[in-house]
Amino acid sequence: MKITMTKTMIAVVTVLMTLLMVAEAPSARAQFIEVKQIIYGMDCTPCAFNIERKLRKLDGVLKDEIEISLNEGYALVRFSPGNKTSLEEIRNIIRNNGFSPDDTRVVIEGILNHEGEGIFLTAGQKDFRLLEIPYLQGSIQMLKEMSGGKHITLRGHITKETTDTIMIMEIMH
Amino acid sequence: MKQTVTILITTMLFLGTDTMDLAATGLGPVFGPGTAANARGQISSNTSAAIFSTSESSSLIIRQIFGYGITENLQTNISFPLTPVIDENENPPAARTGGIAGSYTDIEGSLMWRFHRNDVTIGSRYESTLHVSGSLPLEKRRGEVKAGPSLHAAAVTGYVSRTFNTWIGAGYQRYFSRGGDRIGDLPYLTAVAGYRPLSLNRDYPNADWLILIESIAEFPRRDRAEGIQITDSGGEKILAGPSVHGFFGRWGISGGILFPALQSLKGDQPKERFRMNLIVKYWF
Repeated sequence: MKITMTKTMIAVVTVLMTLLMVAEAPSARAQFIEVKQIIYGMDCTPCAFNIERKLRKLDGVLKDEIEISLNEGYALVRFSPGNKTSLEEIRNIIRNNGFSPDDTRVVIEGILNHEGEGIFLTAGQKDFRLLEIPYLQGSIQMLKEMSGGKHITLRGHITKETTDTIMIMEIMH
Repeated sequence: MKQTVTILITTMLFLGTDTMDLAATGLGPVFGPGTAANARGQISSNTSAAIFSTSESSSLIIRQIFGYGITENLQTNISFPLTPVIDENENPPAARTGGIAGSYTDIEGSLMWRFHRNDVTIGSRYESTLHVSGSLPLEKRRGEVKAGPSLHAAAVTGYVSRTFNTWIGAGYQRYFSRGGDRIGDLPYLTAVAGYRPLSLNRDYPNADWLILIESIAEFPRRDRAEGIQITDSGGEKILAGPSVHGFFGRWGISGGILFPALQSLKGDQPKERFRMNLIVKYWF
């Protein structure tokens, strides 16, 4: 009985550790490298100051590389590898300061996945569906020809209506 | 009076806080209600000094406001005098010292609810805000009457952008009786237009400057002492003048002056010469 319980415990621990490693592995890879969030309604210096202050607290943010532009209406944030910051966190900072996040330009790296006809990028715990921009036809076909599991970096556009669909602008590598 | 003003300005610069701020995350008029609110969870500290100058005397009022953003569209404020009125007018003009700053030596608690907001594009939005507040006087008398508590409500709508700003508003302050006396109610209208010159339209984190032309029309009702209307009270006024606003990160400074364009007073109370306000602002 004692030996059976010990073997069972070892098996359980092994399974748990394996699950943890699998769950941990994707988030150990970099997610967003750069996020340029367009902001509507932001008009003054204190507005920008407060947004910058909140952005500086995000996981993995490169504090000296945050840019806020009032005249062009954006917040640009760059991240270190392995960060866990999501696009929703960035957009919520904008909303909580009383403004409206519009579309977002991102540089993101992750793992390429094929699921049926769809192409996905797994970055951290999140899957992003990849779509083609009409003037950049051929990008999806190029990705389809790459093997699943390949690590890629791309520049893309995420509309304000979604946080999990990226329109490909450039496949960087 | 001049000495007092000098001391005041020095003190305010030292304290570095803003009084009569109407919009901690945005820009608003100095003399009337504004439309912006603190960010969610944000605390603001405002200190201001207002001078009311009449044909007989000038008084200096220093007030403090703390604001808290309950949400990005709902802000609560508490406003109170930092000192007794300096060189108090015997017959002070019926006026508020600012949108959420209250009057004279009242303690005022208020709520600002931005019930409408449309972020139309980069750097610009339309928005509308309701103000409601209640006040208690710290002084026993104001002019010839005993000072009582009041309720105040105002609504303001406006457009803000990186170049042009405009607000129009209306408000009503109702005073309650105290010992048979009652300060006359104060209905008012405000209209503001603002411009950010191209030469000053520099991007963050450079300093941000804005020029406003502010106007206010007031229709104070007659005061009552022991139920009897006081002859030298009440009337209609329109005042207008410029204000300048500068913002530097979490600091800001605003100052403005209003001159009477029209004063139709119902009695022989002293006429106003000007109103002035200086504000240094800070956001936590």
